[in-house]
Amino acid sequence: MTALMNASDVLDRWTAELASVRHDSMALAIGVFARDGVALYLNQGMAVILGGAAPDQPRHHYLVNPPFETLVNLDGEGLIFNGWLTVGDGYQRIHTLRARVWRKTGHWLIAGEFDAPELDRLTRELVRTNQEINNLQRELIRKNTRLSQTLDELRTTQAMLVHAEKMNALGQLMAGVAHEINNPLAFVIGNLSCLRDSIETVTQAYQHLEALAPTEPAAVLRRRYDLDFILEDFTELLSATDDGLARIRKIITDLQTFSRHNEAERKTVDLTENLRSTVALAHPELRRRRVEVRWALSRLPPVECDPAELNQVFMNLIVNAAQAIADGGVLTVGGEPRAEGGVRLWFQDTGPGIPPEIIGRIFDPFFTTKPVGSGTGLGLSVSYTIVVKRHGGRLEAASVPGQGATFTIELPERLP
Amino acid sequence: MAHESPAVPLLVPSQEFLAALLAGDRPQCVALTEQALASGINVTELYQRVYEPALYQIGQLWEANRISVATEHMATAIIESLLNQVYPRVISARRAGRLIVVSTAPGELHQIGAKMVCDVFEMHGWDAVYTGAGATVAEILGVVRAQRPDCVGLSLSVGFHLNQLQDMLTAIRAEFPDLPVLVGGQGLRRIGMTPIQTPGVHYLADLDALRDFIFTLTSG
Repeated sequence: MTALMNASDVLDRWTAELASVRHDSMALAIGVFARDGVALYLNQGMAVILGGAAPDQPRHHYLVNPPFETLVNLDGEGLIFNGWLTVGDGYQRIHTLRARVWRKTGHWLIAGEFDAPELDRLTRELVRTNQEINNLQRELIRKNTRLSQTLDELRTTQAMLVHAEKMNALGQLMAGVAHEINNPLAFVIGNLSCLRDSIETVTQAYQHLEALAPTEPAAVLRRRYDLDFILEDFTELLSATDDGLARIRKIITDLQTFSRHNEAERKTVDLTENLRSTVALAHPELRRRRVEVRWALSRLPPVECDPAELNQVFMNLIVNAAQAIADGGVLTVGGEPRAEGGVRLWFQDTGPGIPPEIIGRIFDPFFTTKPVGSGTGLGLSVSYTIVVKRHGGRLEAASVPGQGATFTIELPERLP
Repeated sequence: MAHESPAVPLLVPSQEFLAALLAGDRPQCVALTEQALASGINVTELYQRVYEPALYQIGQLWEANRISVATEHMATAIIESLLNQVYPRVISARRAGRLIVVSTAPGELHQIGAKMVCDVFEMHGWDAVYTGAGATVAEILGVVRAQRPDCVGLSLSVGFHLNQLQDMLTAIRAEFPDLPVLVGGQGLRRIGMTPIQTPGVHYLADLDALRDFIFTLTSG
C-alpha cells in the first residue's frame, strides 16, 4: 500500500498540470490587477467574464459589486475581501462568484469561483418549475379546447333548435291551414253530393216532361240552350269535381299526417302511412325533377316514435334525393322489419352519388354542397339528431360514386 | 491533444431539427415542426419521426459525453414547449369514455415520454390523467385510487429507476389485481421486459405498439 504523502508533496509533482487547469478554467476566474485597473494576468474564466478583455485593456469596471475602486481602497495587506462578487456589463453578462481578494505589493489578486453545487440545485429547480409550468399550460390548453368545443356544440344546438322551431311553426301553420280548409271542404263535398242527387232528379224530371210534351217549340228551346250537351256534361263535370275534391282531401290528410300537430309526440305507429304521405307532399318537387318513386315496402311492425319528427327526416331524405337526381331518375323507398325488432327503412336514389371525401361529413351541422343560400346544411344533421339521439336508431349513408346513394334508417321497436 | 468522445451514430432523418435543438434555437424548432405538420404528417408521426429520435439521440450524446446535462435540459424544455404547441391538435372531440393514469416511474424526472403516451391516448378519445414527473409510489397509487382508471401507464426513461418501477408495479398489482398496466420508455428499450416480474404488465416498445394496444383496449 502506498504510504500516505503530504498533500503539497503530492501536488508539487503536478504543478504544471494544475497551472494549466487553473489558466484554462471557466469555473475559476483569476486575475491580477494594478491599482489603475490594468490586468497583469487573466485566466480564461476571468477573461470571459470581463467581456473577453485582453490583459492590457482595463476592464475593471466589469467588477460591479463591490466595484474595483472599493476593493483597491480596502485597508491592509493579504486577504482583504471574502464574499460574493458580482461581475458583468449589466446587460448581457451578469455573474455572481464566490470570491476572495488579496493585496500584495501594490497588486490585487482577485479569485472567484462559480458555486457548482448551487448552480446544479438551481438548474434542477428551474427544470422542475419549467415542467410544472408546461403541465399547467397544457391543462389550460386542454380546458380552452374543451370550452371551445362546448361553444361549438352550443352553437350547433342553438341552430338546430331554431331550425326545429321553424319546422314546428311550419307544422303548426300546415295543420292550421289543413284544418281551415277541411271545414269548407266537408260542406262542399256534402253539398256536391246533394247537388248530384238534385241534378239527377232534375234530369229525370226533364226527361219525363220531354216525353209528355214533345213539341216543336220545346225542341227549339232545347237547341237554343244546348240542353242535350249540358245534360251529358253534368256527369263528367260532377265526376271531375269529385276527383278534384278527393285530391284536395288527400292533400289535407297528408298535411295533417305530416304535421301531426294535434297528436301526442310519442306514438306507436305503422310508418307506412307516414312514408306515403310524405312522398305525396314532396310530389311537386319529385315531378319537377322527373323522379319516379318505386316502393319496396314490406309490412312494417308498429314502432314507438315521434311521427312528426320522423316525417321531417323522410322529407329531408326525399327532397335531397330528388335534388341529387336533378333531372330524371328513380327513388326507391323501402322498408322491412328488423330481426331484432323495429324497422329498417331506406331511400335509394339513382343520382350521381356522394364523393368518398365528403361522405364522412354529410351529417355535420352546416355542411352543405348546395350553392350558398339554397341549403342550410342542417337537414341531414337534424335528421341524424332525430333518428340517432332522439329515437336511439341509426342513420347511415352509403354511396358508390356514379351509382347513386342509399340512406338507411334503423329504428328500434321502442324509444330509449 | 485532448481525448475525443467516440462518434455517436445518428438515427434521425431530421438532422436539421436536432441541430436547432442543440443550438437552443426554439423558433427554428417551431418552424420545423410547423413545416412537418404542413407536409401532411400527423401528430403521432411527428412524435415518432422527429421528436422521439431527436430525444433518443440527445440522450446518446449525453451518455457519450458530447453534450452537458444543461444542454439536455434545454433540448428537453424546447420539446416540452413544442408538445404544448401541437397539443390542441391532440384533443379529440370524440370521447371514448375511458381513462388512463400515466406517470413516470417513481423518482424519474424525464416526463416527455409519459406526456406523449397521454397524447396518443387522448387522440383516441381517452381521458388521460398525468401525475407529474417524480411522483412517489404512494402519490401514484393515490391518483389511481381516486381516478379508478381503465389502464395505468408508466414510463422509464433512465435505467437507474428500474427498481422503483418494479416497486410501483408490485404495489399496483397488490391493490388492483386486474388493472391493465403498460410500461415503456428508453430505460426499458435495451433491457426489455426481462427484469419485470409482475404479471399482466404490457411492454410497449414504441408509439406504434401503443396505438395497437389502445385499439385492443378500446375494442375489448
